[in-house]
Amino acid sequence: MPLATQNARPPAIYLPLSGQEAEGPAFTPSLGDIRRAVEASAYWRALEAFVRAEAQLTEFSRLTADWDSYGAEPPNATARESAAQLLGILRTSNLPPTRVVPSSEGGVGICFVNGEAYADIESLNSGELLAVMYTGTEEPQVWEISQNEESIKKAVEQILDHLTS
Amino acid sequence: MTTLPRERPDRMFRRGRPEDQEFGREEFLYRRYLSDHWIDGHFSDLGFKFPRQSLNRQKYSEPEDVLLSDEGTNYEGYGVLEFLVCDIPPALQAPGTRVFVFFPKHVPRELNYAHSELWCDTEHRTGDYIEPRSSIIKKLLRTKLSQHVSIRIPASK
Repeated sequence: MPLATQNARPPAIYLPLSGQEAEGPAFTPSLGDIRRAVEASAYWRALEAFVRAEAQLTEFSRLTADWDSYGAEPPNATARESAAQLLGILRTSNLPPTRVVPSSEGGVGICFVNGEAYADIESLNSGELLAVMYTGTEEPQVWEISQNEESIKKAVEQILDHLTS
Repeated sequence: MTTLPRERPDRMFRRGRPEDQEFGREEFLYRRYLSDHWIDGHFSDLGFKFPRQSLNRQKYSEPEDVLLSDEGTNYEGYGVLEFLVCDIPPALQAPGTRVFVFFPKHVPRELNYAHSELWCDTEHRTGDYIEPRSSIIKKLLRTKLSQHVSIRIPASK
Protein backbone atom coordinates (compact mmCIF):
# COMPACT_ATOMS: atom_id res chain seq x y z
CA MET A 1 0.00 0.00 0.00
CA PRO A 2 1.45 3.37 -0.86
CA LEU A 3 2.61 5.38 2.18
CA ALA A 4 0.32 8.29 1.39
CA THR A 5 -2.68 6.03 1.53
CA GLN A 6 -1.52 4.38 4.83
CA ASN A 7 -1.19 7.75 6.63
CA ALA A 8 -4.41 9.20 5.33
CA ARG A 9 -6.87 10.20 8.10
CA PRO A 10 -10.25 8.52 8.06
CA PRO A 11 -13.05 10.70 6.77
CA ALA A 12 -14.38 13.04 9.45
CA ILE A 13 -17.86 12.45 10.74
CA TYR A 14 -19.79 15.70 11.34
CA LEU A 15 -23.04 15.62 13.21
CA PRO A 16 -25.73 17.67 11.55
CA LEU A 17 -26.12 21.17 13.13
CA SER A 18 -29.21 21.53 15.33
CA GLY A 19 -29.25 25.33 15.40
CA GLN A 20 -28.94 25.38 19.23
CA GLU A 21 -25.14 25.38 19.35
CA ALA A 22 -24.80 29.14 20.01
CA GLU A 23 -26.79 28.85 23.25
CA GLY A 24 -24.65 26.01 24.56
CA PRO A 25 -25.93 23.02 26.48
CA ALA A 26 -29.45 23.29 27.88
CA PHE A 27 -28.32 23.19 31.54
CA THR A 28 -26.18 26.36 31.21
CA PRO A 29 -28.30 29.47 31.93
CA SER A 30 -27.77 32.44 29.67
CA LEU A 31 -27.03 35.92 31.02
CA GLY A 32 -30.63 36.79 30.24
CA ASP A 33 -31.85 33.85 32.37
CA ILE A 34 -29.66 34.97 35.26
CA ARG A 35 -30.88 38.57 34.96
CA ARG A 36 -34.52 37.42 34.90
CA ALA A 37 -33.98 35.19 37.93
CA VAL A 38 -32.35 38.04 39.86
CA GLU A 39 -35.19 40.38 38.94
CA ALA A 40 -37.74 37.83 40.09
CA SER A 41 -36.02 37.35 43.44
CA ALA A 42 -37.53 39.49 46.20
CA TYR A 43 -34.29 39.17 48.14
CA TRP A 44 -32.16 40.59 45.33
CA ARG A 45 -34.69 43.30 44.56
CA ALA A 46 -34.65 44.42 48.20
CA LEU A 47 -30.86 44.30 48.32
CA GLU A 48 -30.66 46.35 45.14
CA ALA A 49 -33.13 48.91 46.59
CA PHE A 50 -31.02 49.34 49.74
CA VAL A 51 -27.79 49.71 47.76
CA ARG A 52 -29.49 52.32 45.57
CA ALA A 53 -30.93 54.15 48.62
CA GLU A 54 -27.53 54.30 50.32
CA ALA A 55 -25.94 55.60 47.13
CA GLN A 56 -28.66 58.29 46.84
CA LEU A 57 -28.06 59.33 50.44
CA THR A 58 -24.33 59.68 49.80
CA GLU A 59 -25.07 61.90 46.80
CA PHE A 60 -27.01 64.36 48.98
CA SER A 61 -23.80 65.52 50.69
CA ARG A 62 -22.94 67.17 47.35
CA LEU A 63 -26.16 69.19 47.14
CA THR A 64 -25.75 72.94 47.50
CA ALA A 65 -28.16 75.59 48.76
CA ASP A 66 -31.06 76.32 46.41
CA TRP A 67 -30.85 72.83 44.87
CA ASP A 68 -34.59 72.95 44.11
CA SER A 69 -34.44 76.51 42.64
CA TYR A 70 -36.77 77.71 45.43
CA GLY A 71 -34.07 78.28 48.04
CA ALA A 72 -34.12 74.86 49.75
CA GLU A 73 -31.32 74.03 52.17
CA PRO A 74 -29.33 70.87 51.41
CA PRO A 75 -29.70 67.98 53.86
CA ASN A 76 -27.21 68.51 56.70
CA ALA A 77 -25.13 65.85 58.48
CA THR A 78 -27.79 65.40 61.20
CA ALA A 79 -30.49 64.60 58.63
CA ARG A 80 -28.21 62.33 56.60
CA GLU A 81 -26.97 60.37 59.62
CA SER A 82 -30.49 59.94 60.92
CA ALA A 83 -31.62 58.73 57.48
CA ALA A 84 -28.70 56.26 57.38
CA GLN A 85 -29.79 54.88 60.77
CA LEU A 86 -33.33 54.57 59.42
CA LEU A 87 -32.12 52.64 56.40
CA GLY A 88 -30.38 50.19 58.76
CA ILE A 89 -33.64 49.59 60.63
CA LEU A 90 -35.55 49.23 57.37
CA ARG A 91 -33.03 46.60 56.27
CA THR A 92 -33.65 44.52 59.38
CA SER A 93 -37.41 45.01 58.92
CA ASN A 94 -37.11 43.97 55.28
CA LEU A 95 -38.89 47.10 54.04
CA PRO A 96 -36.91 48.52 51.11
CA PRO A 97 -37.68 52.15 50.25
CA THR A 98 -39.06 53.05 46.85
CA ARG A 99 -36.86 56.14 46.74
CA VAL A 100 -34.72 58.37 48.94
CA VAL A 101 -35.02 62.07 48.08
CA PRO A 102 -33.90 65.41 49.44
CA SER A 103 -36.68 67.36 51.13
CA SER A 104 -37.52 70.90 50.05
CA GLU A 105 -38.12 71.62 53.72
CA GLY A 106 -34.44 70.82 54.40
CA GLY A 107 -33.65 67.19 55.14
CA VAL A 108 -33.97 63.71 53.69
CA GLY A 109 -37.11 61.77 52.87
CA ILE A 110 -37.40 58.00 52.63
CA CYS A 111 -40.42 57.16 50.48
CA PHE A 112 -42.54 54.04 50.03
CA VAL A 113 -45.15 53.46 47.35
CA ASN A 114 -47.34 50.46 46.73
CA GLY A 115 -50.03 51.28 44.19
CA GLU A 116 -52.30 53.93 45.70
CA ALA A 117 -50.62 53.64 49.09
CA TYR A 118 -47.91 56.16 49.91
CA ALA A 119 -45.76 56.72 53.01
CA ASP A 120 -42.60 58.57 53.88
CA ILE A 121 -40.33 59.25 56.83
CA GLU A 122 -38.74 62.67 56.74
CA SER A 123 -35.53 63.31 58.59
CA LEU A 124 -35.32 67.09 58.94
CA ASN A 125 -32.19 69.21 59.34
CA SER A 126 -33.60 70.23 62.74
CA GLY A 127 -33.25 66.61 63.91
CA GLU A 128 -37.00 65.96 63.88
CA LEU A 129 -38.38 62.77 62.36
CA LEU A 130 -41.84 62.94 60.80
CA ALA A 131 -43.88 60.21 59.17
CA VAL A 132 -46.90 60.32 56.91
CA MET A 133 -49.04 57.69 55.23
CA TYR A 134 -52.17 57.77 53.12
CA THR A 135 -54.00 56.02 50.33
CA GLY A 136 -55.14 58.03 47.31
CA THR A 137 -56.84 61.21 48.46
CA GLU A 138 -57.89 59.81 51.83
CA GLU A 139 -57.09 61.77 55.00
CA PRO A 140 -53.35 61.44 55.64
CA GLN A 141 -51.99 60.33 58.99
CA VAL A 142 -49.01 62.41 60.17
CA TRP A 143 -47.02 61.81 63.32
CA GLU A 144 -43.70 62.64 64.93
CA ILE A 145 -41.26 59.83 65.67
CA SER A 146 -39.01 59.98 68.72
CA GLN A 147 -35.30 59.58 68.03
CA ASN A 148 -34.95 56.10 69.48
CA GLU A 149 -34.81 52.70 67.86
CA GLU A 150 -38.01 51.43 69.45
CA SER A 151 -40.10 54.37 68.14
CA ILE A 152 -38.56 54.10 64.70
CA LYS A 153 -39.24 50.36 64.54
CA LYS A 154 -42.84 50.95 65.58
CA ALA A 155 -43.27 53.55 62.82
CA VAL A 156 -41.72 51.17 60.28
CA GLU A 157 -44.19 48.45 61.34
CA GLN A 158 -47.11 50.87 60.91
CA ILE A 159 -45.90 51.80 57.43
CA LEU A 160 -45.40 48.16 56.50
CA ASP A 161 -48.97 47.39 57.61
CA HIS A 162 -50.25 50.37 55.63
CA LEU A 163 -48.46 49.36 52.44
CA THR A 164 -49.51 45.72 52.61
CA SER A 165 -53.09 46.08 53.87
CA MET B 1 -29.95 76.21 34.97
CA THR B 2 -28.90 76.97 31.41
CA THR B 3 -27.78 80.38 30.23
CA LEU B 4 -29.88 80.30 27.09
CA PRO B 5 -31.82 83.56 26.92
CA ARG B 6 -35.57 83.41 26.31
CA GLU B 7 -37.82 86.28 25.48
CA ARG B 8 -40.06 87.16 28.42
CA PRO B 9 -43.72 87.11 27.41
CA ASP B 10 -45.41 90.48 27.77
CA ARG B 11 -47.97 89.04 30.21
CA MET B 12 -45.19 88.48 32.78
CA PHE B 13 -44.30 92.18 33.21
CA ARG B 14 -46.10 93.95 36.02
CA ARG B 15 -46.07 97.41 34.38
CA GLY B 16 -47.72 99.13 37.34
CA ARG B 17 -50.61 96.72 37.65
CA PRO B 18 -52.05 96.45 41.19
CA GLU B 19 -52.28 93.37 43.40
CA ASP B 20 -55.35 91.26 42.78
CA GLN B 21 -56.30 89.19 45.82
CA GLU B 22 -59.41 87.69 44.19
CA PHE B 23 -58.62 84.04 43.50
CA GLY B 24 -61.19 81.77 41.91
CA ARG B 25 -61.68 78.39 43.57
CA GLU B 26 -61.04 76.71 40.21
CA GLU B 27 -57.96 78.78 39.39
CA PHE B 28 -54.79 76.73 38.88
CA LEU B 29 -51.57 77.46 40.72
CA TYR B 30 -48.27 76.43 39.09
CA ARG B 31 -44.89 75.49 40.53
CA ARG B 32 -41.61 73.96 39.30
CA TYR B 33 -40.73 70.45 40.41
CA LEU B 34 -37.93 67.88 40.04
CA SER B 35 -38.55 64.36 38.77
CA ASP B 36 -37.14 62.92 42.04
CA HIS B 37 -40.33 63.98 43.80
CA TRP B 38 -42.65 62.25 41.36
CA ILE B 39 -42.62 58.67 42.63
CA ASP B 40 -44.64 55.92 40.93
CA GLY B 41 -47.62 58.16 40.23
CA HIS B 42 -47.46 60.10 43.52
CA PHE B 43 -46.11 63.59 44.01
CA SER B 44 -44.27 63.47 47.31
CA ASP B 45 -44.93 66.11 49.97
CA LEU B 46 -41.13 66.27 50.20
CA GLY B 47 -41.18 68.41 47.05
CA PHE B 48 -43.08 71.14 48.90
CA LYS B 49 -41.62 73.69 51.24
CA PHE B 50 -43.76 75.20 53.94
CA PRO B 51 -43.05 78.87 54.41
CA ARG B 52 -44.41 81.20 51.76
CA GLN B 53 -44.26 78.72 48.94
CA SER B 54 -43.85 80.49 45.58
CA LEU B 55 -46.51 79.86 42.96
CA ASN B 56 -47.76 81.40 39.73
CA ARG B 57 -51.46 81.97 39.33
CA GLN B 58 -53.28 80.88 36.18
CA LYS B 59 -55.22 84.14 35.82
CA TYR B 60 -52.09 86.01 34.73
CA SER B 61 -49.72 83.31 33.46
CA GLU B 62 -49.13 80.19 31.48
CA PRO B 63 -47.62 77.09 33.14
CA GLU B 64 -44.26 77.47 31.36
CA ASP B 65 -43.75 80.96 32.86
CA VAL B 66 -42.46 79.38 36.10
CA LEU B 67 -39.59 77.89 34.10
CA LEU B 68 -38.25 81.35 33.26
CA SER B 69 -35.90 82.94 35.79
CA ASP B 70 -35.64 86.67 36.50
CA GLU B 71 -32.40 86.62 34.49
CA GLY B 72 -34.27 85.30 31.46
CA THR B 73 -32.72 81.84 31.56
CA ASN B 74 -34.63 78.57 31.55
CA TYR B 75 -34.81 76.26 34.53
CA GLU B 76 -33.55 73.38 32.42
CA GLY B 77 -35.01 69.93 33.13
CA TYR B 78 -37.58 71.11 35.68
CA GLY B 79 -41.23 70.25 35.17
CA VAL B 80 -44.35 72.20 36.11
CA LEU B 81 -47.02 70.91 38.46
CA GLU B 82 -50.42 72.38 39.17
CA PHE B 83 -53.17 72.27 41.74
CA LEU B 84 -56.34 74.24 42.25
CA VAL B 85 -56.96 77.00 44.77
CA CYS B 86 -59.74 74.83 46.25
CA ASP B 87 -57.17 72.07 46.87
CA ILE B 88 -55.50 74.23 49.55
CA PRO B 89 -56.84 73.07 52.92
CA PRO B 90 -58.65 76.13 54.30
CA ALA B 91 -57.79 75.39 57.93
CA LEU B 92 -55.74 72.88 59.91
CA GLN B 93 -55.18 72.17 63.56
CA ALA B 94 -52.93 69.72 65.36
CA PRO B 95 -53.56 68.54 68.93
CA GLY B 96 -52.69 71.36 71.30
CA THR B 97 -52.28 74.02 68.62
CA ARG B 98 -54.32 76.96 67.37
CA VAL B 99 -56.31 76.71 64.16
CA PHE B 100 -54.35 77.96 61.18
CA VAL B 101 -55.88 79.11 57.91
CA PHE B 102 -54.23 78.83 54.50
CA PHE B 103 -54.81 80.81 51.32
CA PRO B 104 -53.02 82.06 48.20
CA LYS B 105 -51.75 85.63 48.24
CA HIS B 106 -50.91 87.60 45.12
CA VAL B 107 -47.35 88.95 45.55
CA PRO B 108 -46.57 90.40 42.11
CA ARG B 109 -42.98 90.96 41.02
CA GLU B 110 -41.80 93.37 38.36
CA LEU B 111 -40.78 90.51 36.04
CA ASN B 112 -43.48 88.06 37.11
CA TYR B 113 -46.84 89.68 37.71
CA ALA B 114 -48.54 86.33 38.39
CA HIS B 115 -46.21 85.51 41.31
CA SER B 116 -48.15 84.40 44.37
CA GLU B 117 -47.39 82.73 47.68
CA LEU B 118 -49.12 80.23 49.89
CA TRP B 119 -49.83 82.12 53.10
CA CYS B 120 -51.02 81.16 56.52
CA ASP B 121 -52.52 83.05 59.42
CA THR B 122 -54.40 82.25 62.58
CA GLU B 123 -58.16 81.81 62.34
CA HIS B 124 -58.58 85.36 63.72
CA ARG B 125 -56.91 86.76 60.58
CA THR B 126 -54.19 89.07 61.86
CA GLY B 127 -53.28 90.06 58.29
CA ASP B 128 -49.69 88.98 58.90
CA TYR B 129 -47.94 85.79 57.88
CA ILE B 130 -48.18 83.63 61.00
CA GLU B 131 -46.39 80.32 60.69
CA PRO B 132 -47.41 77.40 62.89
CA ARG B 133 -44.66 76.02 65.11
CA SER B 134 -46.06 72.53 64.80
CA SER B 135 -44.12 70.45 62.28
CA ILE B 136 -47.14 68.17 62.09
CA ILE B 137 -49.38 70.95 60.71
CA LYS B 138 -46.69 71.87 58.19
CA LYS B 139 -46.31 68.29 57.00
CA LEU B 140 -50.06 67.79 56.90
CA LEU B 141 -50.47 70.85 54.67
CA ARG B 142 -47.66 69.74 52.34
CA THR B 143 -49.16 66.26 52.13
CA LYS B 144 -52.71 67.41 51.48
CA LEU B 145 -51.48 69.62 48.66
CA SER B 146 -49.35 66.82 47.20
CA GLN B 147 -52.42 64.56 47.02
CA HIS B 148 -54.03 66.95 44.51
CA VAL B 149 -51.05 67.66 42.29
CA SER B 150 -51.18 67.07 38.54
CA ILE B 151 -48.23 67.28 36.22
CA ARG B 152 -48.58 69.97 33.57
CA ILE B 153 -45.09 69.79 32.05
CA PRO B 154 -43.09 66.63 32.88
CA ALA B 155 -39.64 67.08 34.42
CA SER B 156 -36.62 65.44 32.86
CA LYS B 157 -34.22 66.26 35.71
